[in-house]
Amino acid sequence: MTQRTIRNWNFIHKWTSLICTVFLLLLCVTGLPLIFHHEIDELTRAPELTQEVPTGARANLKDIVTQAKAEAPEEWVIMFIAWDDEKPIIQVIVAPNMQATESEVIIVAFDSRTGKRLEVPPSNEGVMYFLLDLHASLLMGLPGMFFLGFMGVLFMVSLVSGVVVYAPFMRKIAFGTVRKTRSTRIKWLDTHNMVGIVTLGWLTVVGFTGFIITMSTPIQMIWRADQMAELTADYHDLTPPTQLATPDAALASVLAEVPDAKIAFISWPGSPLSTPYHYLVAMSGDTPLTERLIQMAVVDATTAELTDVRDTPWYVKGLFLSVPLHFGDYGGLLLKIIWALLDIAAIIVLGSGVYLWLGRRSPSRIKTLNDPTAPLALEPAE
Amino acid sequence: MKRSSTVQSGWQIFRWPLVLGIANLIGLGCALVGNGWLDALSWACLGGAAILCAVLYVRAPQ
Repeated sequence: MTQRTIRNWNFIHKWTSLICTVFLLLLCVTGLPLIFHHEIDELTRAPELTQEVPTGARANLKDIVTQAKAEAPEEWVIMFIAWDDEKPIIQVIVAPNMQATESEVIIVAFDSRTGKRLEVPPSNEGVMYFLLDLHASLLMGLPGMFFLGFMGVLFMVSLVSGVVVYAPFMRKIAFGTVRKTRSTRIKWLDTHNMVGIVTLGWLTVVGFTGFIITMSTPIQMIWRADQMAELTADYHDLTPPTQLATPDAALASVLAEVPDAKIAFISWPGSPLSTPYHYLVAMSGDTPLTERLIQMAVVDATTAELTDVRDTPWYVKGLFLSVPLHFGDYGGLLLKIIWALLDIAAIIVLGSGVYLWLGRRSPSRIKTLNDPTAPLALEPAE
Repeated sequence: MKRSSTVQSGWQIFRWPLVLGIANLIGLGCALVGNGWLDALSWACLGGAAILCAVLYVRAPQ
């Protein structure tokens, strides 16, 4: 690499990093407690469940839904109902309209065996929800998500350019060297390089999957346009049904076809994850991988007949798999602890990067930077 | 990890980062595919990276 090429890559690394660093630091700090979201919820807001229930007992969904709807204003609608993946809990999401965002809806919990109403603080309130909202969208909804997605792109560019400029730095020093005996600046520079290169794979995957998650709304829209259009082709002349078959009948049709299906959620006709004419029943598998790769059963909303069971397209699969890879919630508590340690490593890389930038702004260094004949300005004096 | 006297080649610079990058990716992937020993492998690969950072920093001569 010529001096000029190195200087260009340095420029890219410096500016892409500087622009996204403040936001990435915010993401790392809010992300740290979010890694333990589930454990914190367990300690602070777990509902009490009755133990003595005959095996195989299944609550009547229609009753649950009617009960949940009664807790919301008259014109509100059922958006979807979701099963907890560990506990016998069903959450009913009641919304002012089908386009409502998570913060606008009411979430009502029930025992999925007995249909008993559970007193659980709703998952869209409280400190953890605030942190999640801040982490996902800076509390600014979709524009905030897109903004963070753009920061994610800058982060990817900064990682690539960081690897490129790593080479000239390391020409004369062995891998993993941290020179503590020189200046503080060199110590932090070496730490930045060492921690950055050791955790590079993790940083890349968590950053990239985070970017994918910020794109979940467009991905969902593409999916609707692509798959849902196909499903509704035969229904063009019909007005959306007003008399719906019961969710119990819809579920029964699915279970008749796939008896051991593990149901993740049922999306109501007209909701963003269904068509105006169908219930959409989402089924998850039972390994860590297939648990995330949901299959969709499409059920006619009027007759409760099973229309189709289909796989999700590759880009939806990609989105589903990005969630665990971003949050680290797929390998037990120990993986979460390691995730937290790597998150701290990321904070060290970001913090040392800022320190190196601040420390470089002495007049003599700026002079060197502007002098094209000077030796590589950004390399520490050897 | 002492200072080498000669200029290192690209391969010498990037061989350890390459090994660690692959270990990171194995660690990220295997817990997703299954449980049990695959989880343990994941802990070893990713936990190893976190521990390595600490060891390299602490071991450096003051």
